Amino acid sequence: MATFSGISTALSSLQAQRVAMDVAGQNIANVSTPGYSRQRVDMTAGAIGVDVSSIQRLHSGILGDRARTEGARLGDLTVTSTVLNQIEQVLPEPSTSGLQAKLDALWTGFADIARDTSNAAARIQVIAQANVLTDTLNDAAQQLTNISASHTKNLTNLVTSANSYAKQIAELNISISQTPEGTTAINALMDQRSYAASQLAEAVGGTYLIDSSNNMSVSLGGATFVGPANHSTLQVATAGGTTSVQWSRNDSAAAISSGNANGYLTAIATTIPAWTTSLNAVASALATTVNNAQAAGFDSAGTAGTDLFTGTTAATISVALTAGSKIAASSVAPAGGVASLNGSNADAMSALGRTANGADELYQDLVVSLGFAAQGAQQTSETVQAFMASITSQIDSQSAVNIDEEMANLLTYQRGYEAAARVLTAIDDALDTLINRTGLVGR
Amino acid sequence: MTSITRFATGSQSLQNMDSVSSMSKRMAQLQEQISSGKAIQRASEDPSGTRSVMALRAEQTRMSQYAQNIDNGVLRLNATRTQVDSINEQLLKARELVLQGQASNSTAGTRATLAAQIDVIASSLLIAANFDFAGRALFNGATSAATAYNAGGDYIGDTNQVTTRVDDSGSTVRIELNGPEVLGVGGANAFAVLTAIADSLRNTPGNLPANLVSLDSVIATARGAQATIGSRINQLNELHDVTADRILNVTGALAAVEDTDLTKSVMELTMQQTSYEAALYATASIMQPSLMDFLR
Repeated sequence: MATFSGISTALSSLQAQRVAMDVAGQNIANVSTPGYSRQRVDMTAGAIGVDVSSIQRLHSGILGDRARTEGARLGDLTVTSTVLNQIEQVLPEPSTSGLQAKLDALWTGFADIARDTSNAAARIQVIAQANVLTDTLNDAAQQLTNISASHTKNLTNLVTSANSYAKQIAELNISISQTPEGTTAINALMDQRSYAASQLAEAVGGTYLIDSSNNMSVSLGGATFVGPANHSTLQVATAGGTTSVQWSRNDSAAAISSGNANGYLTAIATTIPAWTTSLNAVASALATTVNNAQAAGFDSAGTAGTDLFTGTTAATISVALTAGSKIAASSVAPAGGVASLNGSNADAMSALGRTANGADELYQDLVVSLGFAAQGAQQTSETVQAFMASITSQIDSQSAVNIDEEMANLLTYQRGYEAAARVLTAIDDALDTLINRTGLVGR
Repeated sequence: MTSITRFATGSQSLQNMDSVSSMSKRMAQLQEQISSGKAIQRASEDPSGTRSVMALRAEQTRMSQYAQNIDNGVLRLNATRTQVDSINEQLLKARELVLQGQASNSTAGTRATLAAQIDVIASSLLIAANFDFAGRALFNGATSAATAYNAGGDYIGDTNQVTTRVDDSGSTVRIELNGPEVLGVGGANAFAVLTAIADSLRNTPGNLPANLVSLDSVIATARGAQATIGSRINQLNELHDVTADRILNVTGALAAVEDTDLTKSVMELTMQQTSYEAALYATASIMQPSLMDFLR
């Protein structure tokens, strides 16, 4: 054994403990950094003393993958649930001011006319109620359009940020390939990359692969989004009323099947149009039943009734009559030029609220199925959220920082450092004895 | 839950936050239910309950319509009854005058006086027959003509019925009587008979017995009308009670579905509050100490 090897041994330990303390410090500093994976110093016994073989990043690729998949699903479900809640707010039921209350008010108006067909005030009231009703329907249709437009805007913003995450991943791929392995630097880059990947997954879904040379690639339905050193861009296109997400490179549709983007696309293309169609059916049933009933009767001048409503969609329905006298309350034709005050037709109209497949029934069906849809979406998203939470806690149990543990490690390394220093002092003392105090016999 | 052997400082506080915030969300929901008094705020909270609420509200509106219909019917029939009663009185007075005219001691002079009285009765009868209710002639059927009888005593109304709906099944009750039903039909109506009587009193007293027969038949018609009105008012009064009951039932059912069960909600809120405070306390005491506190 060489004379001074003990000093080298102590030195290697001092260096190793210092690195380990630095890493513990890094871990503690990042206790609340999102996406940070804790690091651990791997020490191996060397020929002389100790070697720091690498600084390991404690991260599970499999769990990361599962978190991305569930994150994408959750992103989709969250948007779906939000959209249904927004639609529900457009049709606030049960309420004393919703569409149902306004339908009831119209039928009540007809009943008031039936009670006394010569009552001009009751007739004017019906025209006013009909206007309130069509305004409510128009407004609901408009709000649905607005919701759709706002989600188109959200989709555009989302695609912009997805592009920037894709760019980030591609750039990180390059940086990672240029950084030596087993260092704090590469670990930090890899954390950044997997954080960007989880954000990208939540936005647009996709498949994430890390190849043998530690490059992450992302593909959407088989088409490459991010390659080892490059990335494509996505764009939102609206053509002929259809909104889609396309590849900028060739304007072909991108396959998006999860993530927020899928939620927005489904809302714009399917969910909102479907509920608009249901609302249109309500408007159409209202117009048809009331207009048919009008046609069966005679107004206060004795002329055959004309349409009260024009338009057959929620957006276009409006009141065609302005004079209350035009309500065809009588089912009896005028006799000898004198109009009848009969109220049977108004009475029949007051009962239109109970027609099978009439506006009321269709509207109640709509509200109930919308309620079930919103409830279902809410529950599914809560379930996935709970699942996501359990994956997150598994990841955390592996990758997140525990201050107690770091403190204990710090303590160990500090003590190690102190001990190594003591070793150095001991060797120094021994050498001092050897060099300075030996061979002095007889001096 | 999967077995987790290692707890991370960050995730520990996240989990605590999760449970604390889900509790405060539930508390907010309960508070909303208590302050609004409504158990269902939006359809997704209870879709089938929402349907019941909507259907019951519509039913409540309809029932109160029927109640108004019935009240209106009773008012109109009462107005009709007043007029029919007065018509009856006038007709009986006319009958008395005819009997006086037939008496052996009557002279041409007394008969002329009687005839003048008959004319007065005829004109007041015309006023009663053309009486209106809320701006609408009572006895002219369903026509929009302003009166039921013209000055000559001819019926100018129609025989269409005025009815009012009293329930969902579409049952109706007739709430009017037309002129002929009270005063007789065509040439045999009260005005024609009274004109004939006045003429007989003045010119041909021999016709008076025949006139009396016609007058009696008019009186029988008017009496029949009185009876009809009475029975319809009774029917409406019974329906009024039935409808009032229905309204009570519907309101009760609506409250059961829609209104917050205050006792239950308040108790639940108190329980939530207790566990919320406990969770907060636990979070506070868990999150404070770490190994750091015990190291020099």
